[in-house]
Amino acid sequence: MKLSERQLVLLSVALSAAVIAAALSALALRRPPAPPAAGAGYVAVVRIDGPIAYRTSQLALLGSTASVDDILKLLDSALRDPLAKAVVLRVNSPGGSAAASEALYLKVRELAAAKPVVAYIEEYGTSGAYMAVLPAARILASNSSIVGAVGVYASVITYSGLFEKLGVRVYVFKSGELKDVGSPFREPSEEDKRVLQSIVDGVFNLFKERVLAHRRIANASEVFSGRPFLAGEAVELGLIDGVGVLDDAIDLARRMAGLPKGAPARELKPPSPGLLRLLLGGASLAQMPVVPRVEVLAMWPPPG
Amino acid sequence: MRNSAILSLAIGLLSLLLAASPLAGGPESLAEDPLKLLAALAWVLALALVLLVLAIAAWVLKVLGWWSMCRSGMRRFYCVTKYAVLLGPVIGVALLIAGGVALALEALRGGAFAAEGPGGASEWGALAYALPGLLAIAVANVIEGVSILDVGLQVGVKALAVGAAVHLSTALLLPLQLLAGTPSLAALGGGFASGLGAVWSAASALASLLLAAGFHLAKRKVIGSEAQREAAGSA
Repeated sequence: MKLSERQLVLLSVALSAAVIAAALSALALRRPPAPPAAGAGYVAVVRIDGPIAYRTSQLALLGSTASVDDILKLLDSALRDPLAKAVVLRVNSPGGSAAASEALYLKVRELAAAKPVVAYIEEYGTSGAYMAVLPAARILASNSSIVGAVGVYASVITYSGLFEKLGVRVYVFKSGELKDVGSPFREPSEEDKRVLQSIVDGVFNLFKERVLAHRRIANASEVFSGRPFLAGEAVELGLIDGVGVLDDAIDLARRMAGLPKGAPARELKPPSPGLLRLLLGGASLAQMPVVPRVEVLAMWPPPG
Repeated sequence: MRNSAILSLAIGLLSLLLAASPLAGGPESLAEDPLKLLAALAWVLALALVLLVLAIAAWVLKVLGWWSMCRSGMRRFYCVTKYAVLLGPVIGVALLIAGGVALALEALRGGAFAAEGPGGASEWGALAYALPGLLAIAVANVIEGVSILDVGLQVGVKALAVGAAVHLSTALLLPLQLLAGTPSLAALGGGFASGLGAVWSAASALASLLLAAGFHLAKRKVIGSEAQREAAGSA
């Protein structure tokens, strides 16, 4: 049997087409479950990782932070997306700046008023991070996570002694006695200390009110001492609702939203930072402890 | 082309050694002994280098073979085969590299590895990016297989025709390979023992063996018939 030129071409084309069609079919068969179809609904997962701060915050200069700007956008998109029937906040943060934590708290409150929100604390859910998730309908945590540290601190670092040794003198001209409260160029006066303490107390009172508004606290004096707790103790004190794993939080969110058991969970991610920014900004990706000069709702000392 | 088939067979056998290397169980198994791990890595790298050189040599010989077939003017289709054998792997590897770069960029942006719940989204993404390159190589293999089949039928060497059929079947196994797991470029090219595993490797090795024997028999047959023709002419 001999084949003509035409038959050779036809055979090659037919076999190649068969290979291509079968390969594409096989690829389609192996395709992972598609994103939820219209009306299907899913659980949106939003991460809150690292110290909470605005991108331009002093905290952000000290290492990788959970940029509140990005998280707020993600929470907004979860709020607007009618298919995001429930939201799981996946938290691993020791807290952060008071203003950023406050912004996050307000957004979570808005979200929780619209759809079921479950918070899941993986390793750290302390201080500002804990405040941010207070409006969640349920707060779960990993068994070995650290929760609480309900409190506020501010630290002032002064260089006056160092400058004196170096022969450096700083002259400050100010309109009022307290205009340079917290200045690193001089030792704080008693009045400075009083002012700073009153600011810390003011922020703390707000924090305390929020904890009491959202949770039934069993032992207030211990909780508001500022100490962190293991998840088990946090359950007993009423800081959280239970311990479990991330899947438990997602399942709970599904149930609360009336979604079927197989409803997908989809992590919402901030937009791409771009290759150039990744390459140039790579150095800031390392996690570093936070040494703040602003009033901070964070666990102290920060986890290294 | 006979020598190319012999080299392909050697590649298939050497790749079995690669598959049986201590690293096949994962580097974790050697993590406790850094010296052993280094030795195993050096062994694998050396073997991979040898395989790469052999694969390139086999490809060059194959291209030269089809070049001669094209020049002989027996079939115009052999000239198509010449270009398919020459350009198929080049385009395929270029597409695979481009797919790898695109996948890496996607991964950096968090797209390809985006958590969509349990389910191999990243593996599927890798397959999708690798597919154009793999198909370019598979189509080149199909065209070459059809040409070899034709040579086998023309010369009347059964081993060549059967070898071509097995060679074609390895190209047709690509979809099964996709269903079973990530295919390996090496398996498509020369019969490495990986991917779909034993079936693919065995089929590739068998194809190489049959093609080597077939091309050898075909050469002898052609030389014999030419000698007969010359003898008849001189008589």
